[in-house]
Amino acid sequence: MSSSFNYDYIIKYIIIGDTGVGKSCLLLQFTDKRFQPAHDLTIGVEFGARFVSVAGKQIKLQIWDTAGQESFRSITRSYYRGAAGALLVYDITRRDTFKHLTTWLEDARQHANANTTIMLIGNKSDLESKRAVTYEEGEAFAKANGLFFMETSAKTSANVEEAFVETATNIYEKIQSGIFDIHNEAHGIKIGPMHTGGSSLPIGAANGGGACCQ
Amino acid sequence: MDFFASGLNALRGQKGQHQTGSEIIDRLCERIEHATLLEDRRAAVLALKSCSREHKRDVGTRGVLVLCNMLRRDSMDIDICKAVLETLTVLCQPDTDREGTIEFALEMSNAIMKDASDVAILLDMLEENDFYIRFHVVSLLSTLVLNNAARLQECILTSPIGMSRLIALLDDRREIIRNEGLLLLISLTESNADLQKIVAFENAFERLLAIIDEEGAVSGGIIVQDCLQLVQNLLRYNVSNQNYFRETSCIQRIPSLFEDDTLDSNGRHELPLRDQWSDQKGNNMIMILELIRVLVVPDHSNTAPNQRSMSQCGILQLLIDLSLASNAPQRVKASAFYALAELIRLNKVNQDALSKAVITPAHPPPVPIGDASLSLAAPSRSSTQLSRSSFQSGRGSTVGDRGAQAHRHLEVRERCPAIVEVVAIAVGRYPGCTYSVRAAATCLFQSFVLENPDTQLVLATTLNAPPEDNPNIESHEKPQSPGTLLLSALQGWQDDAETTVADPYNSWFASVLFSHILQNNARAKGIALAITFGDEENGEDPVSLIHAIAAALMVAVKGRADVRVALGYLALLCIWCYDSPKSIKDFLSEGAHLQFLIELISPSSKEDPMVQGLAAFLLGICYEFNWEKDALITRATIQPIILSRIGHDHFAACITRVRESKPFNSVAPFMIVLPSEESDGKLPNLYFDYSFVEFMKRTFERTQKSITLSPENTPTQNGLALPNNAEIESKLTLLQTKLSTQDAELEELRSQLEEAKKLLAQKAHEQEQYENTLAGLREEMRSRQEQHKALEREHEDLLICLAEQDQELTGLKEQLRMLGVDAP
Repeated sequence: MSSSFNYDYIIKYIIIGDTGVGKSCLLLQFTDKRFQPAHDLTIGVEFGARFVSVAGKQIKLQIWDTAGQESFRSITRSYYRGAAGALLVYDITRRDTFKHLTTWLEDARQHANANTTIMLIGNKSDLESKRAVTYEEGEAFAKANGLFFMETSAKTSANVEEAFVETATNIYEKIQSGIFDIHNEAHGIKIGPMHTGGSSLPIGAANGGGACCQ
Repeated sequence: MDFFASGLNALRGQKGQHQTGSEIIDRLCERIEHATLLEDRRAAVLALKSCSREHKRDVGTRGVLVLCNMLRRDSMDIDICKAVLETLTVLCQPDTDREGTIEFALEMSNAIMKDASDVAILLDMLEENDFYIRFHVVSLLSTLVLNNAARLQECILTSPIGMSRLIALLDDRREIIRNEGLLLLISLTESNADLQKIVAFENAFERLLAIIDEEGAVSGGIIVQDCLQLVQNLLRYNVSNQNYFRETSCIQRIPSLFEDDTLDSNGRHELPLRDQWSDQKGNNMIMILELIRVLVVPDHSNTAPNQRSMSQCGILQLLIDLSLASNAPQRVKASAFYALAELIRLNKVNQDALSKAVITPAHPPPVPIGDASLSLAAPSRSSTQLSRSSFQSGRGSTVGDRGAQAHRHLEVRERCPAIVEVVAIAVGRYPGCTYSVRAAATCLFQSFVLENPDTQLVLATTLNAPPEDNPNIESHEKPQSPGTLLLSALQGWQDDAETTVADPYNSWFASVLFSHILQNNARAKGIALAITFGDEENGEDPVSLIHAIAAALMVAVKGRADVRVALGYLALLCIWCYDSPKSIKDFLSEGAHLQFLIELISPSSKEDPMVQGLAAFLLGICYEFNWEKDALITRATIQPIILSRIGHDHFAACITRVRESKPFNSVAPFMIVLPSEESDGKLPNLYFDYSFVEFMKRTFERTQKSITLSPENTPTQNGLALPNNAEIESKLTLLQTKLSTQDAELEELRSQLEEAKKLLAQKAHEQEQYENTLAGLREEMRSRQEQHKALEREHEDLLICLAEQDQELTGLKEQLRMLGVDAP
């Protein structure tokens, strides 16, 4: 668990979007590198974490995967404000999930921090034959609303890594340009011990990864 | 003054006639609703507040919604808000001295919470920094959560930033608000997983750990206990938050909670107090230990990684010191044993760490006489036991020896392996130890050998007494090993029964510990079989250990000792003989043993039914696994005796009876003695060890039936010696759990590998870039060199050219001179 200490930044993400678009699968593919076709319905919110490297910096992503069902909407809203990144997901084979993006976006704009980076994700790109939303439509929607855009497949893992990393890259750039107040953790960003000189490394940190293999 | 006078007049009515309370309240409410001037509304609400205690019912029925609306309308006026909040709080608090007020308080609370947006307004008011506003909002919310937590949770969840405002209370510099906020958060997070997650998401762990540090960690006040309670609420049963806790390196912060060198009021370190244990410090420590346990719950996917993190950051060592080498109160030590047990459970690395640990044992607790801080202890244990039986009667004199004991306690004790001290505590070496601590130590021991045959073997070999010419011989304490401690406790009561110590639990705990060393381990059983007592040189017949235990059992039964003694021995013999023909052969080689068991079970026996049941079970095992060729007593001998003298029905009934007895069925998976169980000198209700109960439940049916099978059947014919399904299943589940933990580890390692790979790829990429740059530079250098060469060539050409011109010049000059021109 050496990796727990050596980070430059912690960034909080949320994943939002209609139920069944593959939010939990995206997270699982990103954190565990596996795909689970029959994933249980997410109840409330689930947590996952992973490291990524951006511009040579170790960034720890803490990701809260939310339930897409309407009944959980009020719970999941509590997470918007404290997140620095949001992945807004729809299913390219289900047009209604694309239509609902407007509502999701309104929700996010209303409750999230104005600086939150939002990445629009058209998931299930492996199901080309069932496609109901074209790439161009997704791209146009993103452009019109100032979002980043990618099509991914949680099943084949296509673009999954990229979606998370690109979002992180954008947030990192915002940190660099001083847009985020990184000393206020309420904005979903925390500076790591590597940044403050690392003098506060707890015991065991020096053992490195090897210690985990015993 | 005019204003007040007019207000008062208005209230009194135009003609100054007397008005009833409810009329006044009516008027006040009307005024609040309809008055256009802020001052009027303010005056009315203050008046309403002042009669809210006297006329709670009237004010509530008429005014609760009026007041709620007022909060919306006049939320900018601090005085109005304060008065409304106070009044609402009064309405929602039941009066303790009057009936029916609880229902009314609930009615009021529900009225306030009927519209979730009213609660949202309360939460919005927390943005206000005014002390009283914040304080009264928190008080009102705390009252509401007591009356109807579920509804309040629902309401808070509808407000996207409501929870984050409540958590911000923890940052309030005014302690009273922070503390009240903390209590409110504790009540809110007790059962609602959604709220727990939001609280964690809002960095609650960090904030709470910071407060704990600030307040002096374990030595801090009740605020530390409250913070720990909230941390626990967030983690218990909440996998997502547990992951988050580990991922944010919070486990690594647990060791600092143990530190207690707080500054006193003069800014000095209170180191001399380090070893003083106030009640509060004990409570705090128990909360810390509970926190550790929440993170290493058995059979949980998070347990293995958490165990690893904990031992790496030193928690294992802290627990060993706390439980064995500190002078913490016994209730703290009991908690520490349980935490330690779960930290090493099914974790080979941590089990090994405990086996290697060496400690300077703490002074044993004195035999309690009215020690107020040790409420667990039973000061009067001896007096009630005096009347029980001769077997227990010795305790009084032990208590009488307290002076001498206390003196001995002050001597510096010698370092010893931690596990030796664990066994010593469990088997009752220290009469002052409570049963709670001894049960906890036993639990730790079980966890220590669980799924660890190597450790079982090592412990079995310590049954042989350490050599007397040990270098330690100079010490005043005889060198002890886990095995020798067990042996002396197993037999001890016989020697002492007529003199002093006669606690039935000494041999009972020793039997339990011993059975854990032997269980499912043929080699350990072999080692134990080889142990003999008696000095042949002095003409004594050597007695094997299994015979010595059988003899002790017989003496206990005949001497009418406490039933626990016999149950302990019988359970040990069952586990020892099960699936071990050699042990059975040795056990039955003394004819009296079979005779004794038969007599115990026979229908005319007046023995305790639980003892009879275990005796029947043991007899069944002795038949079932009696496969040794040269056995003195064979299956063919046993079966007719059982069937004729006892009868199959009675035999089966004996076993069923113990199976259905209350003590047998009420055994908790973790051996535990509640303080209340041993108060007033009672013996706890501990008759069986859980793993024995599980073992018997698994096997008794087959044993019951086996007695009817022909003695000629061989193990292969009837399949009896093959492990039964239950056993296979249990092994399977164990293997499955192992597999799944290994899977998890594999997964983790994989992800680490993946990370490493990525890093490598990145480095490779960087290298490539460097190489590219290098190549570019090389290219540049080459072209520069060429340029250089070209220039040199040019230079040379020029030189040649110059030389030629020089020559030409000289030639021309010569010609000129020849022509008579004076050239320069």
